[in-house]
Amino acid sequence: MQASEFSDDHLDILKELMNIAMGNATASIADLLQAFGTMHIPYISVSDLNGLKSFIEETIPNDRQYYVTKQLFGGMFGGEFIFVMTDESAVNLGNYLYDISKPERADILDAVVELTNILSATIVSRLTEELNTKVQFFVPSTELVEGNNLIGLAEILDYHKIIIVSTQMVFQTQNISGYIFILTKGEMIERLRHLIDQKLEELYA
Amino acid sequence: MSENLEYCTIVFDSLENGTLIIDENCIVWAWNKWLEINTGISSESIIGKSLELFYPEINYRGFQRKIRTTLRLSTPTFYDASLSNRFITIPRNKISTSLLTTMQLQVTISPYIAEMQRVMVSIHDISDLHELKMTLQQKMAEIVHLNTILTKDRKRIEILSITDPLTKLYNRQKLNDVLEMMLLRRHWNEENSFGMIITDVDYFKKVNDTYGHQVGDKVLIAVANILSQTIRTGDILARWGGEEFVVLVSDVDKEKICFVAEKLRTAIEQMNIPDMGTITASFGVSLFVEGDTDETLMYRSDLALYRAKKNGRNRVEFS
Repeated sequence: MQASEFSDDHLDILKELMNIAMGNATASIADLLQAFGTMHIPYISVSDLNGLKSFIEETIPNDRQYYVTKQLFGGMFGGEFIFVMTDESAVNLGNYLYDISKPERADILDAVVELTNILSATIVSRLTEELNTKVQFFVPSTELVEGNNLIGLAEILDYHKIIIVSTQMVFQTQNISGYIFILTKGEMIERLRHLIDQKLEELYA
Repeated sequence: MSENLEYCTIVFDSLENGTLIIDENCIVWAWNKWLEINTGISSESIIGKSLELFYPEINYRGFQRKIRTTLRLSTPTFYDASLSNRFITIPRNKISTSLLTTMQLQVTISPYIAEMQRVMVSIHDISDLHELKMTLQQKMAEIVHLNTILTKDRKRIEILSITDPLTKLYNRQKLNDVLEMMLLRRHWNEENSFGMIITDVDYFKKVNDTYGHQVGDKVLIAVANILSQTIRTGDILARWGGEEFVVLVSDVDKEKICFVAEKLRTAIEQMNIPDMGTITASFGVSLFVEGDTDETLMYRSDLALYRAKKNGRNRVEFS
């Protein structure tokens, strides 16, 4: 079976596992940051380059500035975790985490990295824990991007078949929201499928 | 056991990066050789004490939250590694470049002994990478700036190469290019007829002799302007040389092109030029016919112009 033949069963299981992982994330954020948020039901699809581009364009309005944090994770299952926040949300986050009315750029960047750390660690770690494997996280990098051109052409060309996992996170009280994308490609899709197969066997054993 | 501990100490002190062990209350438990050398603070003086005594500038609320996150989630957390240091400040002694005076640090907080609430903080000096990035950004900005100048210059040169400097109309070279294209297009599409109007200001030499060359130039500019304003959009107007102008007119028959020429003649005749008064011009008109080249078309237009001059000037003749 090819990566593109990732079945509906695989996608359903992945969706279930993502729901668990996101529950874990909101609980951890509430505990660590004292912020109570919600996460939308994740959207999961197997796509190609154009699909990813169109999906990002449809999901994220083009008329804003965004703080985009990218963090790689690797191991038996690997990929890229991308967290996207509007300029306004990022300022609110800096304000909230550092208790400063007018946070500086450095405060905002660090706050965005901090939230990304927690999100990636809780979501991806929980997902991989459910799949009986472990991942390692690499140093994240954040940049301020104009519009929804989040992924450079060179980067897009590097991804062939992609699994997109996407959700939106909202902290109503603090007026903070962000988009989460988890991308995985090529051999990693095969490995993910294999891990899900093992999980299915474990569940029905 | 003590041999193992000795090995651990050797490894800890041999690391090519700063490493410290710290607990949730920011008490330092280990401080390696790299940190001793680069900060000037000995391990004896800092171990067992709060980091805050040595580095009060750190935001400890954020740092302790990161430690807590690391311990609770058993996963590394990171400081933003962009240009502003959020952790300790370490002076940089590089002499050959002066872009960064303090080390740019990549700081990772990893779980160490969770039950004792201790984490390991690894500090990597990434100043060289940042300097490279800054230099590249600077060079890129220079390239973009130079490219903008180059594009502007290229456009200016292109415009100059096809423009008559006095009247700002197309020059003879550009007119020849357009004429060549129109002849080719006519070759492909027989329905697409066109014609040529050539005009010459009457008694222009007299204007120059009487009023001087400056007024002569004003007359040429005024004629160029009135012709520009009177021709249709899409018709091509050029200064052929001296006091001669040429108009290439598309989609016309004899009646239409003569009408256009007559309109231009009237416009010039009715124009009032400051410090000088009025002038007139003569017009020679020809229409493209099968087998015409640029030379034959020009020849017939010139012939018609000659006839207009000969028949009393300030008139239109067709050939």
